[in-house]
Amino acid sequence: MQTQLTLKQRQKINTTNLAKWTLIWLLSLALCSFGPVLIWEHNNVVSGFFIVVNVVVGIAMIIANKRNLQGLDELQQKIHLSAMGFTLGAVVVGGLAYSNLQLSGIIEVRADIPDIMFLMGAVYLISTYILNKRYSCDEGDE
Amino acid sequence: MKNRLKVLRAERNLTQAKLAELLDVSRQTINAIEKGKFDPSLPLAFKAARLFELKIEDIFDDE
Repeated sequence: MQTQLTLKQRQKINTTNLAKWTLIWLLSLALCSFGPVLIWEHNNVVSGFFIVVNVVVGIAMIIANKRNLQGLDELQQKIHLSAMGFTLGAVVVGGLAYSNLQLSGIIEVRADIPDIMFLMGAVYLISTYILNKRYSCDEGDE
Repeated sequence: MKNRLKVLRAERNLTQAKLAELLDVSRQTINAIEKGKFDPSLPLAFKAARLFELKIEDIFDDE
């Protein structure tokens, strides 16, 4: 069905869909994090149920992200693939370097998953910005 | 890879935006191809060839 739509129409639908699933996933994640303390007082059955819901919604978000990437044109796909490559490299190199700094006692602050997520987000954003700049249209172009 | 996309587009009075629409890609992609910053895939090259009613090698030159 999507093949009959224009690139802009496809992108609008896919981006809206991705935003919708990301928002639902974030809300379910917040529920999993704060629910046991604020709502259901550490009931493991309820916690387990919402964790399953969070994973199922997460899978839907991954599928929406895949569709969003497939809906981009080939240059945009190349930009995102390169940005993902930079992100993966930065996390592996940066993460292991940080681990070595910690093991050798130079740094004592422990890095957790949210720190890695922040690094990934920052590298991905900066990479896509720089790559988009590299392929951007100039002022004088038609 | 060199190409004649800009010339062919100008001969037909097409803007980058219009050509992008006809080829179902972004204007950014047309601009990058014209400037030689990005080489199109084979399906996109065929699409451009069909649109301009030319052979691929009449538009793109890998030398």
